[in-house]
Amino acid sequence: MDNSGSLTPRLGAILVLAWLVPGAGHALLNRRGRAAVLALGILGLFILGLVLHGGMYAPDAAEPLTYLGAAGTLGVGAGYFVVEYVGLATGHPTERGFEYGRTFTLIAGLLNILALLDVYDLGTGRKGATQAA
Amino acid sequence: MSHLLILTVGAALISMVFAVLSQDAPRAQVRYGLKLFGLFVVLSILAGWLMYPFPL
Repeated sequence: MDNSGSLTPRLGAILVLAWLVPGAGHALLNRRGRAAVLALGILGLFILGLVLHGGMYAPDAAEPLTYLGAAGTLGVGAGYFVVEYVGLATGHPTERGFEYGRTFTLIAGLLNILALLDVYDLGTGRKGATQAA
Repeated sequence: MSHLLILTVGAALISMVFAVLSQDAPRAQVRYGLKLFGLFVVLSILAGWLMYPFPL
């Protein structure tokens, strides 16, 4: 699409959609295969984390590191707000999968941030100008 | 869900994402993804055994 190497309003809008829905940015850039794998991997990890009762990191002033965890998890986009809204964000610390689950929801957010960087590189033509995978 | 199953599924999903983001050619993506998945699982099991003697 845009090979000027700069951030255009259209690319900005694509980046926001890519943040809200993992894989959407790549789909809008006609990288549908890559979009499908990213959506499956990131959302699969996020849902698996919730199934394991891990919940999500929430900012807690008493534990400053939780701010980093919450910021990373926020990278997953709309899913963060949906889970917060339906009340699954806390998780169940007594469950066996709690630590795994919380780590998975955090990693899902971090992976989506990496995917955002990939969308930016593809959108500005810095990467894969001739690739269509 | 067993610990090994959680590890395997998690490693598979993470490897998939890393593979498509870091490689462009489909064949290279598959090769890199499988290599990463194998390393995830083998090194995790190895780390588990190395920690086994420690009473944590």
